[in-house]
Amino acid sequence: MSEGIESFEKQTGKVVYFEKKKIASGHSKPLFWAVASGKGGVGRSFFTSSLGITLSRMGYKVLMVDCDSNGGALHSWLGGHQKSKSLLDYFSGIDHLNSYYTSVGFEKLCLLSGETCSWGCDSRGVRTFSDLLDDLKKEPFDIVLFDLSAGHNDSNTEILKSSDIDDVFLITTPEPSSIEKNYRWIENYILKILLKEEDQRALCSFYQKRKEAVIEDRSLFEVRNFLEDLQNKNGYQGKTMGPLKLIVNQARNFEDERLGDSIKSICNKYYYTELQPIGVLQYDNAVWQSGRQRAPVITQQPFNPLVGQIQGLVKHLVDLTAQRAVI
Amino acid sequence: MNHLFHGTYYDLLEIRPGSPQHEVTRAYERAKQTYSSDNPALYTVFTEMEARELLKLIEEAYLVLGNHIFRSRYDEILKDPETQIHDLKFQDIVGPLLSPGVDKQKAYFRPHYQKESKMEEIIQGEEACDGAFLKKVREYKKISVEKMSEITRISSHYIVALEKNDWSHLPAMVFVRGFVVQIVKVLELNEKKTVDSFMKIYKADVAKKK
Repeated sequence: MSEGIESFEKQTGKVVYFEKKKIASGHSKPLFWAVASGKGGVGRSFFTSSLGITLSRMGYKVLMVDCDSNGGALHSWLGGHQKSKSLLDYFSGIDHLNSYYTSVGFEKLCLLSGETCSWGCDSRGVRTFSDLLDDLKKEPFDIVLFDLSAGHNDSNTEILKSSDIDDVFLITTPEPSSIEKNYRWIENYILKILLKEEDQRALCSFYQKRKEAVIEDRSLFEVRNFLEDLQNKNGYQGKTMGPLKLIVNQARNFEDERLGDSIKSICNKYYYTELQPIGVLQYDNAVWQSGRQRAPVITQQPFNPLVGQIQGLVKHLVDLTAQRAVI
Repeated sequence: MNHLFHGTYYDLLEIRPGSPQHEVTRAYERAKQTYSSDNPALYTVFTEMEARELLKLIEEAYLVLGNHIFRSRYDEILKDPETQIHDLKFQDIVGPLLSPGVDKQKAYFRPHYQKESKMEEIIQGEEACDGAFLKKVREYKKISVEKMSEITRISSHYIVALEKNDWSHLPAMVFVRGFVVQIVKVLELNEKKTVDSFMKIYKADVAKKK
């Protein structure tokens, strides 16, 4: 028997994690949440797995889809080994989507594992991500989490371009390389996901001219003003999703905790794009310790403050008014 | 470096126009931290020089929004449909209020109205300057009772009573004179003539009632 919450549950016999709120009511499809990051190794899969486990414990039916085309490792954060069936099998197969799910040892939580072998990933087969999204809409889940690849690639673009995606979570750490790559990710997001084709060309030629201009001749807000004009003139791609949601992972001090607000302000002033910092997860050794044991932190160290932060964050995401929580 | 910012000072500090003063200060402090050169969040987006320029603009925004008088004037300018935010410069907002020899409060509270020659003649020629006359001039100069009360610090209750020639609701004569002097100053009337005329009428009325 695993230690932690399970044993606690057995002792008390009545653990109530959170009260399930009907977040999916009014939706004819599950909520689609995509988790992205500009740089790899910043805790994207860790966050996705923690989000999935916490939501399933709150009573929601959750499916996690490992879309990392560089070889998904989401299963490692869920205490499992490589799964026999993966997304690649779905793309090349003809069976119903639910035959590709695998259970991960948590009630109401399923995983559609990532591509477990890099060889042959290019030959996707007959199905695409658009087919996957269409199939997922009919599945009886409350929430579907997409763990995207780091940076931008065709798979990410295909998923994010879909108007079915309800929210996008962007993970960063306080390291400059992570922050820098997230800005590049946001630029790509604006260019490839939000802008219409003619506006994409306009932005590229504007940026080329800006690059060639003498630095002293540049206007402080010219990028913002250009994007503002584009948005006012043509509007963005008809996306209805809310602002990008930013999570600062591995925060070590108070300065790191304020990073989310800073990035928000800079995105507003530079990209004319709304970004919503939704939470900070502190650096904790528990993550690499449980990672080595290939077990979720939530079950390995349920009373760790980091677990409390994750639960608080998820509670906030699900319902601002949901206050009741045990553990 | 060209700083053309399409938004208002509120947009610059990322707050709503109606935000209370403490929120303005908090937003200013947050912005100062964000654009300080040692903030890693600036990396690859704004250069150090650009961050310094941004800080200057943020200081400018706080100079206006952090000051009650400047902020009121700025809000009034924003409300004007003819205002072009792009063309609005810091000096246009605070300049008139900072000019040497100009009382800041007086400049801010100076009445803004369309002059009508007929009305101006009536005001010039009026001999019996009673409460009704003061009311007429106040309305002509588009100053509400609330604003008059804000400027003169006289209770709106007394202003209304004074304009109705309702002496029973006014304090002692010496105070009434003080009120009239204040109001006449705001209305930019001939002080001596108007106050003397008003007090003459007032004294005569009070004597009649006795």
